[in-house]
Amino acid sequence: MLNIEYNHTNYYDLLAYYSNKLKAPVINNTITIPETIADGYIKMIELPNGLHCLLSDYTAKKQAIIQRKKCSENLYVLRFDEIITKDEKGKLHTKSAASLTNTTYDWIFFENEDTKVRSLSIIFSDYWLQQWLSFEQELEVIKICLSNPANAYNFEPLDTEYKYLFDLLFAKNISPKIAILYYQNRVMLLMERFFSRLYLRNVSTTFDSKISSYDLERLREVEELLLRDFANPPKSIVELSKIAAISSSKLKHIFKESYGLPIHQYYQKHRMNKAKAMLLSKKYTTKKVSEAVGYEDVSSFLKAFKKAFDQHPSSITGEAV
Amino acid sequence: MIKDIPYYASNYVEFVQLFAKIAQTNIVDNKVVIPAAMGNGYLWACNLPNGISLLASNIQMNEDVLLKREASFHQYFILQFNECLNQDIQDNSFFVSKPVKAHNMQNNMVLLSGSHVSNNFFIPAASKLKSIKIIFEKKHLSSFMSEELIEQFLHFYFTKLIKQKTIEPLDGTYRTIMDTIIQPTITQHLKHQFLQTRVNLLLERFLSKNISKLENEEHNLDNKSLARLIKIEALLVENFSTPPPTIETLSRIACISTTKLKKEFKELYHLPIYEYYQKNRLAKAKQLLLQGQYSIKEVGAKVGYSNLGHFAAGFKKEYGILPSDVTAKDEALPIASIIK
Repeated sequence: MLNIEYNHTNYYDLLAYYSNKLKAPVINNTITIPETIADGYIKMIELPNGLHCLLSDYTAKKQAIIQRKKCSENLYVLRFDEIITKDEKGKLHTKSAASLTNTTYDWIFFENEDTKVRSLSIIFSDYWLQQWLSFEQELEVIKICLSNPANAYNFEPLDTEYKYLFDLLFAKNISPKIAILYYQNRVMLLMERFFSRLYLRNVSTTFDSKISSYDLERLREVEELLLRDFANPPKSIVELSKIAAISSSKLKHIFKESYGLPIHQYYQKHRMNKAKAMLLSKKYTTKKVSEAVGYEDVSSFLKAFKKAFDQHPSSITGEAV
Repeated sequence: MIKDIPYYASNYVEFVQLFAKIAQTNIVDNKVVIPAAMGNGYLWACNLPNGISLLASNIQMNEDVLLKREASFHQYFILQFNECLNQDIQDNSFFVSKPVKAHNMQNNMVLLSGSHVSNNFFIPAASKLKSIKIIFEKKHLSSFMSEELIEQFLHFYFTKLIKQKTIEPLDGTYRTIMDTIIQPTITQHLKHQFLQTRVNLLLERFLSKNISKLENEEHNLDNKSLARLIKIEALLVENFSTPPPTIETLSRIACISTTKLKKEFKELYHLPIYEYYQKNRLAKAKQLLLQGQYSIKEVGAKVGYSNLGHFAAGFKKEYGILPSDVTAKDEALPIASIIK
């Protein structure tokens, strides 16, 4: 088993360390890994905007443990990793993640024979980050989020868009003459997406909610019950709280936190949306629609509709008022 | 009557201020909304780090406008992308009515110019025009290109441009990036970073195209053929949800024989007409799938496939994967294997 252990914060030094450890030369900032260890390469890229990146793409030939030991110098490392393993039946399993870590923490990674690894690490200081985001209004939120020790690892799986951008870094036909601009653009698209999402996670109320999964399940039942039938009067909050076995004050609170609106407003919004959809279908008269969404007299319906959409149903149906 | 707008500006925030004065309207966030008396649309500017300045506009003017940029001693470059949405190709006004020595903004084109020469841009009345202009300094190129390559490229580009007056047409790749910038307001988070990277993506595409031309042979089309082909290309990729115009229709619009049209199109865009169409609509499909807002069926319909099997087969032929592979989700790499 190959054991790689490092605490370098400078990727030129790290590349030299790898070169020594793998007994392979560095040519054009790239190490071609010896065949006995893996099939592929490790490449260091210094971007014009000051970022240092390490890009690797290889299939391991033997087991390895790669460990980054914590060090006192505080730098951020944003990593994108994709690991493809083969099970006994030869079926491929792809796992992936984007994670923002910090050099003051340990990081460890195991790989087996035949594991296919593609990875990008971007290392930068807090100063760099603040310069980069100095014009952005999102900077303050991001700073607060990063200063919270509970957020030492910001982590998310790679979705389709990340994968698309990530794949481009490993393209075979990158024109060598302006390759640096090509890499910088792709790296910045990944950084942009990661930090935009980090920001969004921290301002959105539905994310990071303290509601237990048990309560969430009850909430879903309540929501479904509420919107099931608009023709008859909705169940009262007291009835709903009995069905869900949650106190009415708690129900009101967590409902609003999850769905963004108080229970009755939420009901009304969906009721009006249904009315509008029915009108747009042009299959129903205004009177039929008002009955279907539970209004006994058309004029109250008209008033509610006008309040919700600032338009009169006749502007949709074309009926004479 | 032509309205002249002479200007001198080394960044577009200043230009927007000047424009607001002429239009007698307000600036909000470096943006001007064109008053109804003048036309409609908007233009906005953003100054970015490293001396880069960006102007985005989507306008339609009531009268002809001539933008006259005056020569400057301050050295910088202007890279611009123009797209005109009027497809009145039979009307040859863009050959006759424009003032001499002015670039016609009705052409869908990409153009690099230097600040030391003055430049005129003609915007015909009633044309819908989308445009992006980028100011950058030579030192920006030096950050990712060798001095030798810069000199070689600039020499090649400007001698070619002056001697042969060639224009580079817009294509699908440029348009995809342009569309992300030309919006009334940028709603994306990290706005400056967003714009900076889009500017660099346009620059990257422009440079890599022209650097490869340095090495390969160029086409031999005259400007009249070019203008014709640029219009035909725009018509072809305008709307993928309906069947494309036939080659006969296109050749009638261009007033040339089908044989000549096919030959010239291939010379300029390096693909036969329908292969080009196919490639572009699949690229559009891939972009839509990646956005994640539409189902595979909806995307198929948007690019003109009513049969999903045909869509999947066409997509696989182009990209080697199925549309469903684009939207498939990976398993998360467990956090336990990343942290201790």
